Amino acid sequence: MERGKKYKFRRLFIQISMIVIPLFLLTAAGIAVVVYNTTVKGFLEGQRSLMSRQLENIVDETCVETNTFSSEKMDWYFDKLEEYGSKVLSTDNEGSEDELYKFYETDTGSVSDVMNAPESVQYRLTKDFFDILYQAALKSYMNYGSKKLFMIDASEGHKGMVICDLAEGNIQHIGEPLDIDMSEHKVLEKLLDSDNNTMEAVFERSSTFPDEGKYYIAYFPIVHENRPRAIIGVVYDWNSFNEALRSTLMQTIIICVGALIIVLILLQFIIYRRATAPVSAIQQTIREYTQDKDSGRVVSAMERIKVKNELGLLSKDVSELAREIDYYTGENIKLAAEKERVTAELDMARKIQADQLPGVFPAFPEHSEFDIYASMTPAKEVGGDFYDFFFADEDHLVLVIADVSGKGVPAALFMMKSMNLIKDHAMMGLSPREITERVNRMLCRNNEQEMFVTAWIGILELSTGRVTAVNAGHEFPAIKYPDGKFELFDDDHCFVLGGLERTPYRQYSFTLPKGGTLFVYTDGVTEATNAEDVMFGEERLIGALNKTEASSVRELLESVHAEIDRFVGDAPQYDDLTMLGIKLL
Amino acid sequence: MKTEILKTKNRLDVSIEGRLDAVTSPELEEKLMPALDGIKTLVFDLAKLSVISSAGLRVLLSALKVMDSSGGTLTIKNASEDVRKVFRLTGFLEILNVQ
Repeated sequence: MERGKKYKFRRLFIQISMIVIPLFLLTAAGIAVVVYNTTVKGFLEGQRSLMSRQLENIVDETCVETNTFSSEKMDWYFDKLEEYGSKVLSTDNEGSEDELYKFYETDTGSVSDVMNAPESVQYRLTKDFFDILYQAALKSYMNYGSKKLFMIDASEGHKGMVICDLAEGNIQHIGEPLDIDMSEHKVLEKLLDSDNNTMEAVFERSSTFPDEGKYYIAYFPIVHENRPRAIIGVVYDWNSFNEALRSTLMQTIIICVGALIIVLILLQFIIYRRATAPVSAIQQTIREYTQDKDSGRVVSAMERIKVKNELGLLSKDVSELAREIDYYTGENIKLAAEKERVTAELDMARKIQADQLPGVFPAFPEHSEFDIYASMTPAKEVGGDFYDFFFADEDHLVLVIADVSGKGVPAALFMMKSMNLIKDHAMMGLSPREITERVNRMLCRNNEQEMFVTAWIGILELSTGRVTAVNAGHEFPAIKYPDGKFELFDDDHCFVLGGLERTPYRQYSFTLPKGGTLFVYTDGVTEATNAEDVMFGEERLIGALNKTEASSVRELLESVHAEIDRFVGDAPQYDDLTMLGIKLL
Repeated sequence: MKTEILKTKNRLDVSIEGRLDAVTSPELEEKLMPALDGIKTLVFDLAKLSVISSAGLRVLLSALKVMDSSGGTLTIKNASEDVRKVFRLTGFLEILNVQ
């Protein structure tokens, strides 16, 4: 088979790759998505907890200082903060130290004390209060690198007022409302509006506050005595989040994809080594073997395949197969030679057998008083039919036609034996009956194979035309009297020769006048079968004998033979066709 | 081709149905020959036998030889006209006991 024919062939390597690579790419994409989501989530969680911690730190620090305040005092402080505004930022402390010490001596901590304190003391107290908050916020702002950190008032009356604001540029002033569009920051709005008294951070993303850009904001409410007092907000640049996130993500994805690619290559390599390459080698070897039948090369090629799996076994089996083919080819060659020898021998046997039958015609040119002809057409190379004719003495012509049971070599051997026995006994001048009786006894002995022969033996007395004959289980003879037609002669049938020793034989006689013809044959003639399984039969034989215009006996037999051939057509010949005819002239 | 063999003491009754030719004769031979041990009377009922060829005749001959050598008898019953004709032509009519 040439590659040129339309056999769709793709390398196994490519077929596998075409499935595996897309699968791997899909897996890689899936992994990338999962990694992205997980990383972002984790990152955000981390940032949130960081921011929460940052905010809580601020609260902790301020609360340490302010936990002792009562609610009213807190209110007063926040009011004052708003009142003083950015004045609390100044560092001017003059003249207030003495008054402050005096105040502390009498201070009970109640709100009325501070409300009644001198102005400078109030200022100073407010300033100290602010400082606490501011320092905490500032510390946090510096430590955590926020973009902006702000604190706004959440108490009634001062909602949204800036307490402090730490940022680069765009710093709002104390007491001013926070410059923020609440409608875009629902989270903050909600915090401010609700009576929320839990201290938990909430988060949101923003693209407008504190300016155009991407930011992440955390809000933390400061609750004092179950009332929200302030909200701390911390703003982080989302872009820097993104940068960090992206780089982490990229690293993860690259590692994953890289690992997948390595695995893929490794897989392909292993498949190639363990399967594709051995299979290809085996296929190549088998194809070459088909061309040149060199089993030695197959064996050595298969030995080079060293994989220890099913393909390794296959390679061993292929070697074995090649060796077996070699062996059987050798056997076949021997058988073929043997067959040829046997055929040649059988051919020789056929010739030897054919030579036994008198085949020279005209047989007795010096005898013009009769015309004799006979023919035998064997079915197989060697057959079991025979005819014979010879002079027992000057006046007696012996005619024999016989059919050995069976075909092939066994029948041929028995035929030779029978023919010789009959001739020997006939030459002794015995009558047909005596001949058959003695020949029968001899054939019955040494006949383990239980073969037998049907025969018609007749002795023609030339001077009188008298025929004395024995029919030992053979076909009816056909006789044509001068000016008459051929008819079958219903003669006395005895048992076959070689069957039973005790068989009785009877002979009969009739006279063949001048111009009369005697025709004998074997059952190959009457039982010749055509393709429709119809036999030639006795009627057609008589018909053929009578219809011919033949003048000589040879022509008669030949025309009967032709008639049979026509009838049989293409069907195979099953039995020997044997005929003998004699005409007295 | 069907054969039925019935043994009673030392008598064997064999009935044959169908054709007895080169194809079916070996079957008859296989069944019949071993059964002839110790048989003195062998009877064939050929009422249902349609055709007999030389192969079938050979089996009958073999059976006849066995009966001959053991001193027994072989009888043929109910042979059809066609079968009788074959017996006559081949001379079996003389050596077989055909009723």
